[in-house]
Amino acid sequence: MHAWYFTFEYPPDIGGGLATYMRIVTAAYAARPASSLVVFCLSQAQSGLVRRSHPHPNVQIVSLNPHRFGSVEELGFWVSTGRMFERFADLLLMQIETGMLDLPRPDYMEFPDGFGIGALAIQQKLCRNARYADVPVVVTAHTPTYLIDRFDQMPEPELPRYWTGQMELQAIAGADLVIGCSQAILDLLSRELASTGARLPRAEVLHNPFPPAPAGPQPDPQPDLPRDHFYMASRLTHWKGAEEAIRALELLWDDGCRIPFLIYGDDAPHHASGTSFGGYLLRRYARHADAGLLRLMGKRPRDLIRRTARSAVAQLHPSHFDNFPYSVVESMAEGTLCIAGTNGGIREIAQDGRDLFLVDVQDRHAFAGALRRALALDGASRAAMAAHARATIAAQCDPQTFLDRKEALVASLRNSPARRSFPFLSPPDPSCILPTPPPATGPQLSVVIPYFNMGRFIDATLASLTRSTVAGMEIVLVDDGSTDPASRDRLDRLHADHGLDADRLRILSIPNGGVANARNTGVRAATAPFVALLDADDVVAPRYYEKALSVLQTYDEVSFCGAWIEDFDTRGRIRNWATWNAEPPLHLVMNQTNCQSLVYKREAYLRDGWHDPDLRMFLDDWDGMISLLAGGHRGVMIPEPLFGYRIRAGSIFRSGGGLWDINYGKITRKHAALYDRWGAFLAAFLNVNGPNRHYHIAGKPGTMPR
Amino acid sequence: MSDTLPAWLAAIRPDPSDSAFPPLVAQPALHRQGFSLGGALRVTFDPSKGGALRVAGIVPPLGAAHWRLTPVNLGAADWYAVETDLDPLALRGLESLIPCLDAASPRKLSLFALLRVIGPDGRSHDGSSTMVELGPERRGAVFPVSLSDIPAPLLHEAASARLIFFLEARDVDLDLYGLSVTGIAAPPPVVADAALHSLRDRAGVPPVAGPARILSAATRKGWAGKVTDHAEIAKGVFLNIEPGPGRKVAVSRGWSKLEIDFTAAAASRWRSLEFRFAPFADTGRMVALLRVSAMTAQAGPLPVVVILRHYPGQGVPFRDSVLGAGLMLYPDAAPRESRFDLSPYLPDSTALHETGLMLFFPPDTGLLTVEGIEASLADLSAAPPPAAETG
Repeated sequence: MHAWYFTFEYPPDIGGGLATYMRIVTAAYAARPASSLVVFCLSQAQSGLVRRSHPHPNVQIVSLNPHRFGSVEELGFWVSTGRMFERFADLLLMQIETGMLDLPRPDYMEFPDGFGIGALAIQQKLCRNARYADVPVVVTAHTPTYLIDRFDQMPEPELPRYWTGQMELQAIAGADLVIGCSQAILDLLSRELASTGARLPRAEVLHNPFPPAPAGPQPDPQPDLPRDHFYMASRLTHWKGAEEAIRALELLWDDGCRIPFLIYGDDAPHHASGTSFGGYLLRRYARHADAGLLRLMGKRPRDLIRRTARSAVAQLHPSHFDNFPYSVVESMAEGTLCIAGTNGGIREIAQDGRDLFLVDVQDRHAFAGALRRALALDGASRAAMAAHARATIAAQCDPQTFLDRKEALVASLRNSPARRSFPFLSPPDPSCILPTPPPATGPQLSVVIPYFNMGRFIDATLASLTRSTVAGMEIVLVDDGSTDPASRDRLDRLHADHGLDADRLRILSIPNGGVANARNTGVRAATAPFVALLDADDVVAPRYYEKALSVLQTYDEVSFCGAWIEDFDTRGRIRNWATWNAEPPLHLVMNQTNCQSLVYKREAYLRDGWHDPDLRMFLDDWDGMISLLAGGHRGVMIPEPLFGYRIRAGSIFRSGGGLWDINYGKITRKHAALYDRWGAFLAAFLNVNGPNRHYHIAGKPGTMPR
Repeated sequence: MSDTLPAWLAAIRPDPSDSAFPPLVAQPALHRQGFSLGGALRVTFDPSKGGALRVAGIVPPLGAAHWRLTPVNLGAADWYAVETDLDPLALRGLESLIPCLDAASPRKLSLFALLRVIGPDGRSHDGSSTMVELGPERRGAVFPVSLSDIPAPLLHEAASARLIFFLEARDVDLDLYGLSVTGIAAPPPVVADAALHSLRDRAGVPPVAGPARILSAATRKGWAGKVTDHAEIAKGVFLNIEPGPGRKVAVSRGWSKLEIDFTAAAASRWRSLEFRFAPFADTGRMVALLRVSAMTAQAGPLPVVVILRHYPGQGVPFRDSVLGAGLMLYPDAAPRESRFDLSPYLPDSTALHETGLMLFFPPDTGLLTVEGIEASLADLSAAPPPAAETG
């Protein structure tokens, strides 16, 4: 098969467990001349945006420098990185399809779950981007970073951490296939998704690959050496469980044992103590450090650790949760005695007392018991465990078997029925599953434009509509009692100037009642099964409505559809602004849609989407979207800037003043039941991020002073 | 300095006297597949989704003739390409390729240049520029491509080479006035690096004016404190933020590390550390050496902009020059060394230069744990030649 893998770690630039996995997968594909692999990875070292190279005849590396892509500032680092991966997958596909690049189309794409770097490519596929249509997307669950942050006692709702976690879940929920490195991670993710009513898509377990030891005699484990230390080799973080190990070892030390505990690895920040974790351990356990029993060794070359470890009692892996850690796999493959936690996936291939010792590391006395078992092992028993461990890794983790099984799983996706259900993280109410309206005899789409003294801008707006690729469109322009003579006069010439007959452009005139009333009036007058709102100074890209209707016609449970926003002024684009699928809870506290220019199933708008004239023309569009959420509806946002939002002096949004706070109050009172439903999340979110004037872009940190 | 003279590789402009150009002025052409634009330039796009590309010839009453390319329904999530062939022999010995696109886009347009080098076995390697945004004003936008991103052996045996501009295909015009491509020759090999290593070998003290400026727990003045605007926190090392309500940077000294917390300075328009050098004379080969061992609390890498600040004195405002691509900090404290050429940024008007090396941190910097940051000056012209290899 021809595979495209995306990764945020790749050797030698960026190391880690994912880098180890990618190194092994790369070597496994290099040994399959009939297959090919393209790896998309990150590099800070290269000077340009993209670099493509051939480390093997059938392997290509496309390394991308995220700081040369130009959107970190406007989107945040990980959203920008996800977009960069999606854009470059699209660019390579474009080059293949035009013959610019001699490369086979991929049989599948694989993303890791971490940082949600696949979320935007998957969203493109869900939004029916034709380039991705026949390419299955696999997400491998190595362990989402938001779970690691939770294990590490980081504040989960803090932006952009919270949003990165949401992208990780969106990628997992939207994948064609999730591969878990263990059943443990799949069980955990199932519970996470179920907590908001979502579910894991098709998921299979494939334990991580690891190359077998080279043929020949195995290294001598030297079973009869005196044992003089325990050790860990891991970055110093809370979730890796060094503190649990120290607390268990304290029981031995208090009994007079003088065997020290060596910790190898870089120090790391520790949010809970406001210092580094190493610093925290040295302060908290100063008496053991002073006695030489606790030693922080810093990062050391692996060969040095390996040599020193020949006299170790055991290597400890006391993580609070570990999916399928390479640190344990490598140690087992080398025949090093390990003591690992039961909360993770290694127990799925290894047996306690045969391959290693497994223990509940949170139970201090049980952990100490495992340490004593290791101390009590005689040479023969130690050698037998080492042999078992090596054999287990060789049998369970063979890289070619791993690829055979993965490719068989991917091949089985070919016969899957086309997806008709959108994988929301908070699925809609069943009553809001609205079948696609039957083909209309009249217009397919009604675009409603509220108009008040907008004569200067309406031509650009209509010109963008006449370039739309949706043919069956009516435009319902609602003149909301314009008072400016030039703007009133302009209405008389719109049909002629834009080549629109009276059926394609209907102009309604009503007494001034505000933008919400004008929008509602237009929707009432609309005749098409789909309606779109568009302000009289904004514009749309030619394919916006075509793409939005495609989404609405594919998924019964999608009530409305939007897109990313391009803010512009007289000098063109200012920035892109990312929007996200409309579902609670984040949208209740910060608008994340182009709520002034959505495309709706008309039935959904008529049922729950009315804009509220009581809000005095301010935030009524956001409130209209929240009304839909309160009614149980959900919306999808296409990750392309298809809507142009004009930034101009004097717009109502820029002059809202005190209406911000007044209308927030009205909105929360009006939808009290929905806000109550998500109250726990909202309280935690607001406590850590502050009120919503401190954040506008979910992928970036807030600005609240700390 | 003949080794850095540009080598011209290509120069292309629309030619109104070319028989293909006037018809485009009279009647823009709508292309539904790739096409040639005036011979040397080819345009490629994927029409399979129903899109097209319109090209017009423009001859304004005042100003230069140009092509206008307009995607039609290709979509905001698509790309198109403008490419030209290069002589692969001309790439040999180059350090950088400098394509310059004379162009404008009334609603702004993002694009980057990619150099594709095809080897004798048919396999291709790519290197590229950064992403660049064109604006409404016509300008010569440069897209430097470092050839260090292409394997050196391939550059010597390349069978062919192409320069490709990839452009986002949103429905905005590209006014294309011309393309020129030059190359910067690589400096003589070895000397610079050897000189740098030689300097480093001298116990880390470069043989130039003034001592190194070092920020670490050992050099920090005091144990803990807060900086609200500007303060010297170690000898010759200054911390700066824009003053404002509630803004501060906490600097805490541990036994072996220094913690600098920029969290409460996120709203400041700048956050910087300056390493102020003693005055020195420019020899034409002056460099700054920066050794950073500092760890961020961020999950991802943190970009730091590096600037040379020059103080002309006598009431003349300082002048800033951005040095290279800056540097990255990571969530580990592994030491990273950088070298920055200073001489190109130093004016000839003064005999002695007063300068500072500034590190500008982004708003989301948060907590920075510093094991040591050392900035020093070196004069490569004074470095001894590399020792002959023995044994």
